[in-house]
Amino acid sequence: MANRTATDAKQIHGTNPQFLIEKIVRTRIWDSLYWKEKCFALTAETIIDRAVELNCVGGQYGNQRPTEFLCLTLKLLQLQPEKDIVRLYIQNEDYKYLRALGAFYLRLTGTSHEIYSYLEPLYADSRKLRRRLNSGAFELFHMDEFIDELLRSDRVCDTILPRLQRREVLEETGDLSGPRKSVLEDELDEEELEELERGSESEEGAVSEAEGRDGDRGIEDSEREVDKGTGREEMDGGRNGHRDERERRDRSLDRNGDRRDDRSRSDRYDDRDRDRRRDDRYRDRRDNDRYHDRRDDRRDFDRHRDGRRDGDRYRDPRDDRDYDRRDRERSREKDRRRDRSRSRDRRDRSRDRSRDRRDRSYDRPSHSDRRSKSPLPQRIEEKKKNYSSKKFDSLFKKKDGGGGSSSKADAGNGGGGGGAKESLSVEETNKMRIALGLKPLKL
Amino acid sequence: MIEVICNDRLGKKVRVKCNPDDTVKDLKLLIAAQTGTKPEKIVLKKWYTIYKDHITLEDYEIHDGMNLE
Repeated sequence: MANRTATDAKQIHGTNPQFLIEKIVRTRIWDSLYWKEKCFALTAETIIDRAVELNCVGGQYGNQRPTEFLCLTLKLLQLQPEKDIVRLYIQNEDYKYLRALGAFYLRLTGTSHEIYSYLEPLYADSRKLRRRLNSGAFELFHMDEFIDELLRSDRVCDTILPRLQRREVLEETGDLSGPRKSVLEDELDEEELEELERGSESEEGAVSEAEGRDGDRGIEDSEREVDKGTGREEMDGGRNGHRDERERRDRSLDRNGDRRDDRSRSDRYDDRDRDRRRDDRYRDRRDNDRYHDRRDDRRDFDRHRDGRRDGDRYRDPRDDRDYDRRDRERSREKDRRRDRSRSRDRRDRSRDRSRDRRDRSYDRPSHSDRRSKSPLPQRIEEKKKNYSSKKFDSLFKKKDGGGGSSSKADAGNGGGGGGAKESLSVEETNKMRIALGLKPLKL
Repeated sequence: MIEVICNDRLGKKVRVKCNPDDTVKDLKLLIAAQTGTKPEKIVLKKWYTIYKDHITLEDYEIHDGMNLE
């Protein structure tokens, strides 16, 4: 009964006004002694008596006990006094906690226009308020800080504040006339003028000294920019120069990185093509090819091994993609099949085997890559493999399985004994303690 | 030097080394440094006993190896 909102109360922000305070906090307030004893059958007038007895603002403290301030706020929400009464609460000068209470209530229930018009004058009030913190201790702060919190932050006194429209929006629509005029504005203007005068006098002396230094530095800077030599103009020196330098470095790194990938890809295709070309077209001219191929092979292989050489940069990958990828795969399969077959001349066999070894060494990584990349030729590839797929898969499976099980083990242990991971050594703990301002450990 | 184990029942379990004459507040600072939560948000409990900030671990009879939540 005592917890029901007044029957003639209107909805606020689309809901029962009491629901503006969250359910958990609300329940705690309803269960609190203060509510049951003192807040029973209060009216908008008698609540003033209670509010006058307040000595702090705050949300919950200690073991989540609601402050009396919060209880009275809920009572106001329950009663839903009229706007005039709330305005009177705010505009009274005598009782600052009543004023704070009114302000809080208005922030919860009022429209944006009302909030700005009634709460901004309170910025002029600089009286001290006491706030009860979560730990139970008190903290001193000022009324204008409280109002500022109400207007800016999301949560005050453990309550979520309803959305407040921005001041600029209201100014644009004409509800508010112009930006906020601070009470301190006149004082600030005077101060600024004074500062400028004082500042300019001292600056003149300092500028002449600094100029000499700056001049030298300026020349150095410009020299450095020129040396970078990508031909870009530097508008500002100094800061922008550094930024551009960084950008340039990053960009060049990226470019190199991409190029590396391109090169590897193009190398791969190129070598495949070269294999095929070598085998298909020049099958007749074995002798020449052998010499020629060995040299090429070695060169290619070394090129791969030593990372990316500059020579590759200007090779056009487009030339290598003459053939359909499928054809290339299939022909490579043919090559490999042929390569692996034993019924050859010793000459060929030696050559093939040497090529085998080399092919295999740089086939394998690309092969595994292409497994993931190309779904189509997979059927062809799966038939011909020079290594056991079971071993290959098992390698990966074990890794995943091992990883999965180990993570599960960690999770299981984390509840039980995984704390061993989290324990710091004595030195580390001591370092932390000193950083926090505590005395070191007594061993 | 004692080592206290703090469990948040959601997977975070830390072992914190501290002195017996540290207050609960200091212990919360240490826990916060290790777990990353804010010290103001930490509530140390044992069953329903909430440990207050200004009392030392010694007075609470928190010994080596005790588990707190």
